[in-house]
Formats: sequence, C-alpha cells, structure tokens
Amino acid sequence: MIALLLSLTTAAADPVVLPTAADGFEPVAVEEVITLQPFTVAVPHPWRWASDRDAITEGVLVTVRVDPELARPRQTESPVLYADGAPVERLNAGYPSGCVVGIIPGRYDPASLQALRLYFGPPGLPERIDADEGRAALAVAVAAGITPLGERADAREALAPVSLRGSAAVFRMAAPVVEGCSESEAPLAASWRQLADE
Amino acid sequence: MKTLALTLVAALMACDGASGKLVIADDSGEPATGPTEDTEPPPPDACDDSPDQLLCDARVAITCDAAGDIASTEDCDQLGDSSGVCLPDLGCASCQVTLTVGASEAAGVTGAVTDTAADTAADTGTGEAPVATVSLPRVVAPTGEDWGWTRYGLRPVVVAADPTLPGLIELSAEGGIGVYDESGERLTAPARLLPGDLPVTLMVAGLETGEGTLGATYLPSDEDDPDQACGAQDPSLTFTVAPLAGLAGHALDGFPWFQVVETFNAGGPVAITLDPAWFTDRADQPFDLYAVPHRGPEDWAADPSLDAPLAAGVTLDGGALTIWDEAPEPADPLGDGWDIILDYDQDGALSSGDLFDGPGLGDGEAGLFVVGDLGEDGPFSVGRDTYNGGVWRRQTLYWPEDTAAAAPIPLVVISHGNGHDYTWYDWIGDHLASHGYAVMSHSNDTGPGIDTASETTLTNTDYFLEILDGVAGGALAADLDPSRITWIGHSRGGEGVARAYDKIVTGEYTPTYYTGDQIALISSIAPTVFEGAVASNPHDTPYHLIAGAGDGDVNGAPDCEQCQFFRIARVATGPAQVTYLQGVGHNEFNCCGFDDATGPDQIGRAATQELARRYYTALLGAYIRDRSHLLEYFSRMSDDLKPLGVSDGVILANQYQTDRALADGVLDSFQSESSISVGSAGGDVAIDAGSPDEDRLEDDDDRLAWRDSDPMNGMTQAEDSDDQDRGLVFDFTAGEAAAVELSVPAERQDVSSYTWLSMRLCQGTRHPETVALDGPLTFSVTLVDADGEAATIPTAHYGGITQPYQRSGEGPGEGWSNEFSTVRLRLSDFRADGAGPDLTRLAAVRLEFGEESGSDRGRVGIDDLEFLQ
Repeated sequence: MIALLLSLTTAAADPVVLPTAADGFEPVAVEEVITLQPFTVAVPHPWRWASDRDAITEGVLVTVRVDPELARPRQTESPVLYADGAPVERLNAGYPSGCVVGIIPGRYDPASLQALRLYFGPPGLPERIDADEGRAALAVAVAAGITPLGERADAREALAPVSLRGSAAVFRMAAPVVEGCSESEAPLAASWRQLADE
Repeated sequence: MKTLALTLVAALMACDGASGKLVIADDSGEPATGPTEDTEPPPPDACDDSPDQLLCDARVAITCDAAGDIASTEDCDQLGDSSGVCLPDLGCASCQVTLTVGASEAAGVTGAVTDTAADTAADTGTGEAPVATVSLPRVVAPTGEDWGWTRYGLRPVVVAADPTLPGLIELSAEGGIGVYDESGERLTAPARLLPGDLPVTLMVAGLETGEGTLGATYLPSDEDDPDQACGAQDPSLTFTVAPLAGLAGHALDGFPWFQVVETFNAGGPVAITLDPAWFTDRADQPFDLYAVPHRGPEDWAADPSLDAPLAAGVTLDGGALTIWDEAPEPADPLGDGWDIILDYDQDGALSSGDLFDGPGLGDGEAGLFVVGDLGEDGPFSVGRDTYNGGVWRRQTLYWPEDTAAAAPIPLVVISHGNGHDYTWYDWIGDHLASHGYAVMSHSNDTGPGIDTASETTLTNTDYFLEILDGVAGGALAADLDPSRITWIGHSRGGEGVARAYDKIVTGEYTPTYYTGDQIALISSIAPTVFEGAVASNPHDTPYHLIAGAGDGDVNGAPDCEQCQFFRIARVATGPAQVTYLQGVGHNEFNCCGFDDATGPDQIGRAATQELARRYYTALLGAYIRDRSHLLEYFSRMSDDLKPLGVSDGVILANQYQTDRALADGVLDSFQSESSISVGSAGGDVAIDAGSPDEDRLEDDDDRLAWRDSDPMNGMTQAEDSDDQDRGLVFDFTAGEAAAVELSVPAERQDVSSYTWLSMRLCQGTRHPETVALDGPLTFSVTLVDADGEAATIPTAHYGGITQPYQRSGEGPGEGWSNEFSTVRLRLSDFRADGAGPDLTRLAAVRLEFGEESGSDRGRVGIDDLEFLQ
C-alpha cells in the first residue's frame, strides 16, 4: 500500500506514470462513502458499463470520495471503479475534486448493500468487462483486504429508495450532488438539470 | 524540249541577210517587228494553236499573243529555291509551302509574328535545315467541347502556299504533338489541304513531352507532269513539348533552380520562371506580364482581354522574375485565385501563343492562390445554442447567423474525449461557424469505451438531423447541407469517429437520417487505438490525424498499444494527412482538460489552438469546399509552407497520402517481397549503408532507448497482428556516404505520366547517429535512366526530416517516437535545364546520404516510395 501510495504521489507530479494493468495494479478502496441512494426506474436505464448490456431498472446512486489521481479522466485504460464484480457507471469524472458520483447496477437491500466492496480495480475499458473479469477483480480486491462497506469506519446506511421515471431523473437527482462536491463540474451538473423525462 | 523551244525561237528569228538584223516573223510570214527584206515564213511554234493562252512547255511558261505567236516566255526554274512550277493558263508559280508560327491566332493572317523569336520560327526552313525549336507547353488534348479555352494552350501555325497551285498540300505530324483546325477538330496525319483554301491557320498542341515535327509537302495533281514537279524543300517545324507544371513558385539556390507551387501566403514573394532549356525560343522574347483575378475557362473563352500589366516588355532570360514582393491579401478567406499571363504578342489579350498559368493547362484551376491568415475568423457572425435531447444527446451548436448568405452550410460534428465535455470546443466551433459551417458538439459516452463512444457519434448525428427544423430557431433547416459531413473526434472520441464510420461500412450501424457517403471527412485529434486499426478504420473517406508529441495522455509511446495513433492513419485507404506537432500535449485541443503536456519547448494551449484553427480551416476548405490548393499545407514539408500566422519556430511533421485507389506507381512499400534486396514492385534494391533492416514498423522492446537488438526502435506504426506496416531502416556516419538504390522494373520504366516521386522518412530516435546529428536531416534524390543519364535534387530545398521531439522517458536519453514526414519531388524538376533522365525509361531511383548529399550522418527510416499522379 505504501509503495502504491508513493507511486501515486509520483504520478501526481508526472501524469504519464499511472500504473497499468501490466504493472500488476493493486486495488484501491474508495476513501469515503458519502451517500448511497437506491432507486428504481420505470423506463430501463441503458447499461453500457459492462460487456453484458442488459438495461437496468434498479440501481444505487453512490457518491464516494477517492484519490483524485485515480479519478483523473484519461483516454487510455484507467482504473475501473467497481462495486464487487460490477463496474460502476461514473456520471462525472471527479477530478480534481475526488468526488465521484456513480450508478451501481442491480437491486440491493440494506444488507447486501453493506456487503458491497467499492474499489478501483485494474485499468480497463468497462464495456469490455464481462462477469468473469469482474469476479476476478473482486477476488483480487478481497485478497488485498478491501473491506465491505458495512465494515468500513465510515459505514453508513443507505437512503430510502426512490422511484424515478428513467435515466433523466437519475441524472437530475445526481446534479446537486455533483454541484456540491465537485465545483469544477457544476456546468456538467447544470446540463443534467435540463434533461427531460423519457 | 527546252533546246527544241530555243531552236524554234531561233528559227523564227531569221537573219535579215541585208541588214544582218534579227527579225522575228509571225505565222503569216510577215515580219512581226522591224523591217525585213526577203524574210521566210516563220516556222511553227507552240502558240500556233493557242492564241491568247499561256502554255507550259518543259517548265517554261509561254505567253501566246492573239496571233498565236509567242509573246513572252518565262523559265519557271529561275524562281528561287527550285520552287517553280508551270501552270497552264497561269504561268510560273511557286510550289513552296510555308509554315509560319504566328503569335496571333487571327484566321487568315500569315506571318503574323510580332517578335524576333517567332520571326525566326517563321523562317520556314526552305532550302535549309529545320528551323530552331518552337516550344510548346505540354497540355491535355482538347476534347472539342473545351476548345473555347483549351486553344489558348496551343500555338498557331499558318500554312500558306500559292492558292493557284493544283494538287494538294499534305501535312505530316510526328512525335508528341497534335494538330487542330481552328474549330478544334483534330487533323489526322497525313492531312491534306487544298491550296485554294490557303492560307489556313492550324493550332499545334504539345501532348507528350519531347519533340514533335510538323511538315508539309506539295503534291502535284499530276505526278507525271514535269511542269508540276516541285523542287522546293519541304518545310518542317520542330517543336519541343515541355513540361509546364506552372509558372509561379519560388527560386531555389541550386538545381532544379525553381520550385513550382500553387499556394502562397499573402505578404510573401511570388516569382515566375520558364526553363530556358525547354523554352529556348522564349528566352529573350519580351512579353507583357499580367496577374489577373482567376477566370474560369468559359469566362476566358468569352473575354480574353487583359488589363493593366504588372510589367511590359520584360524577359525571363533563364532567371526567375518576381511578380509580387508581397502577394496581395485575398478577399476570399480561403484564398484568391490568380491567373498569370505572359502576353507575347503584347496585344492585351490572352491568345494562342501566349503562355499562362491558369485555365487550359489542365483542370481549369487558377494558376496560383494567395491565401490569407486562415486563423482569422470568417465573415459570419456566430449563433450559439445548447439543447438537450437526453443524457447522451446534449448538444452545443455553433452556426453562421446569416444562414442565407452562408448557404449551403456544411455540418461538422465534434465528439469529445473521456472526461471531457461537449462545451469545451468553442475555440474551433466559433471559428468554423464564422467561416460558414454548422458545428455541433455533443455529449460523448466515452467512459465505457470506444464502442459506446462511436455509437454516440452515430446517434447524435442522426438526432441532429432529425431535429434540424427546431434547432437554432429553425434557421438552419433550409440552408444546412448534410451532403458533406465532417466528424472531428478527440481522444477516445477521435477513435470513436473512425470506429463509427467503420460500423456504417460494415453494416453494424445503419443511420436513419444520413448515409456513409455523406461523411466526407474524418479527423482524429490524438486518438486512442483500443479497437485496433482494422476496426477503427476510416476506410476510403478522407482522413486527418493531428496530435502532439508532448501528449502526456495518449502519448504515442511504444509501450502503450492504445496510444499509437499513427496506426489509424496507416490503414486509411483514402487521402490521409497527418499533422504531428512538437511541444504540444493532449488537452491543448480543448479549453479545460488538465495540463498533460510533457517535454521541452511547449507552445501552450493558446498557440496550439491558433495553429489548429488554421489547419482545420485549410482541411475543411480542401475537402468540404473543394479548395484543393489548401492541401499544399499538408502535402508540402512544413519548412516549405505553413499557414500564415504559424510561427516558423513550430516544428511539425507532415505526412500526406493520396487516395490508394489512385496509387498505381508504388516502387517500394516494403509490404511484399520480404527480401531486403527486392522492392515490392519487383525491382532490385541495393543498399550501401550501415545496419540496414526491413521489418514491421514496430518497436520491439517497447522502450525508446536505443538498442542494437531493436533496429525498429521508436517505430509506432504497427502493433498488433493486423498492423503490417513495414519499412526500411539504416544509418550512416560522418565521413561515409550511403545510398539506397531502387531499380525500376522494365515494365514500369515509363513514369512520364506521373507528376510526383513521393516517400516517407523519419529519423530513428536516440540512435547514436541521430543524437550526433542533433537536428533535421536532409538528403538527395537521383533519378537515372536506362542510358545512365541522371539528375539529382537535394531535399534541403524543401525542408528537413524532423529531429525526434527531445522528450525524455521510456528509457535513458531524449527523443520521442519516430515521426515520419512525406517528401514529394516533382518529376519534371529532374529534367530542369532541358536535360536529365528520360522519364519514359527510368531505370533507378537513388536516395543519397552523406555530407555531399545533405546531412553528414543519421539513422533513417523509409517507407512508401511511389510515383504519383
């Protein structure tokens, strides 16, 4: 961990040295879980953050604080934010704020939510990640000591589930969150406020 | 017969015995003149039965009087140059045919020459050797329909002879010329003319480089009639058909002495020249010089008048003549076209026999273009709108507010990169909209990857066209032209636009409101290459790639497969251009991405955007507005031409590839014939250089530090199994010359139909010779024909192969990934001075390196040697 932190510090000074999967990327837990907002959508939300593209009707809007360097938006393969074995859809970059708002796909009750591990896994393109690769990432995360949400020092309860119309409503719901924690991305959030329901 | 005639005359001239005087008696026996005494009746003569007629007898014209007596005689052989013939009832006539090169095409005017050189040509060669060469510019054969303007590229020749001659005048034409009548009908040799129709003006076209002759012969109506036997020498004009790529360009300080170009920056000098070795008859011939705002061919046909010469009575005499010290600012943002006229007959009008650069020489384009600052905003005020059709259908639109004036308005779609925003492209959106484009920048779903990014490009283009009636208050509905759409993508969006087009080509995606044919241009800014070049493939659509060597994200390094963006350009089969910039990072191409630029001499975001605006204006101008002269900003080496406003200190490497469908002159692409001693065209390759190697253009150890075991160090043109781009590398050191000689296979030795010899070269990064050179690399190119005639052109005239960007990382040392530059040499330049290799029998192309040829040392990569139209 210390070695990884040192390498990340170096990366902050020189962006080109972000570790790649080939370097044997060590999974990194999110630094803080700020909110967990379960939701359902009447109009399925298209899902492109895995090779399995089945649209979702349930998910969790999660707000986390992370190392900004891990969140720095890169064009090449970047560390993938996982919830267990599933990539999290990142709604914003979270850079330089380190505040990332994302969608965890699937239905979670309070207990299963607390069992989730939120972490950055190996760099990759989420649209290529299949279930096997997700399970492999989780296994590495478990082995690396990434703890479930319920066991974290900042463990918190999820908010009450909400029922929404569709994707636009989810993004509108995320807008004030991003505006509040990632100032530079306020214009992005403002554009979400203009989204009309499907 | 002549003796008999004279005898008869003598008999008729009896002596007066008393007086001793000579007496001529008529047929009546009475003395015709003078007193006679005791005269005898005159003997019979030729006129006895032919009173009041003119007879021919043994080439003597005999005039008979009314009494049937010989009134006079004329020996037709006494006419000059043995040209006399005797014509019954007409008398002696000259059978001499003349061919006169006239400076005027006015019909029926013979010998209409106004200058000494043409006068020399008017010497028809009678009784002498063929006349001095008459020059002709090589032109495309007139088709008849275009005669109204193509005739200006021809020279008039007046055919004249005595119109009373019986028989015919036969014309012969040999060599690379074509002969046309004044209506544009091509005469098929041998052509025959009636003397009664003469004089007639014919037009001679130079169709093939080299020599041609036009000859004429008098054919009597009765070959057996000795009176018509013509002893005059047949006239013959020798023409030299000279390649004339154009008149305008820049003088060079060495062979080939002049560089013909089409595009000039405003404020810079423009010169003209004629190669005196080709245009021998024009060398000292004065002319009036005109630079005329371009007229189309039909306009020239309708109005050939000229006004206000730049200079009067000037000559070229082998040198270059500056026509402008400072080319005038254009009114058209994309450049003003000018036609250059050398008015040799000084009649104030374009006419055949003048020389010009403009319509008639080829494609009807202007002779030259003067381009202003492409970075300046265009004439239109810009409207902006942002609207929202869904999470991934958020769009910002920039458009020219006066849509009617800007119509038809092409569409540009911008697809941003990962973590970027669609609102980050005002720097290019506003600029292109001011030049009359509608620019739509959309939210791009790049987070998951390229598949989703490409899908977003496709669906947003569809969505925009679907809602067109409602955007911009409906202002664009009537005036948008969706027939030519440009896709510009940045980063993952840069790969996304290529992938999107591939999806249309393969049928993976079928747009609703447009077709693949409407995608007229694709440009990638520092694109990733996740999907591989085969899938992220622009196919035959014109493609452009721009990237920075200081990119700290998609860095182009050999250990980053996703970063090797040159691979996309290498699979393009249509026209492709690469603009590679030193000192530029990744996020310079948007307003707000993090500072990633790495390496020395960074030019910064503002300067990068200023530069990119200019190149994009040129790029779209060329492919969307059909202003092809703007391609010179991509096809010429950057040292030779940069857009106005781009600092000379900016180092950039241009690559330019023509449409592969037209590339039938490949000499060596290194793609086939795995032997290093055989080129892909089948000719031998002889390499006299250090450490030559031919292989895939892929760095083998994924580091940039030099190792002898990795001869392709720094190459990032190939990575996965689908990339098969191959090339040649070698080096040379101080004090040693090196050469690569490629034999041209026998069946391909006629390269006269091509315009260019093109090749790509790079310096091998961090190789000891590259490090020691520490600067741009130059070399020379020699062409050799089958007889060993050769000519050499040093590429230093046009610029150097850039030193690799001196960026560290990826191992010890400085020097980033290898950057290729395209070098294009005009084939006709090798024949400057009127000599040099015969391009119909080219035997070899030799690239020469070393102090005598350019740089004294270096490590070189070579690819794609080919002849191009």
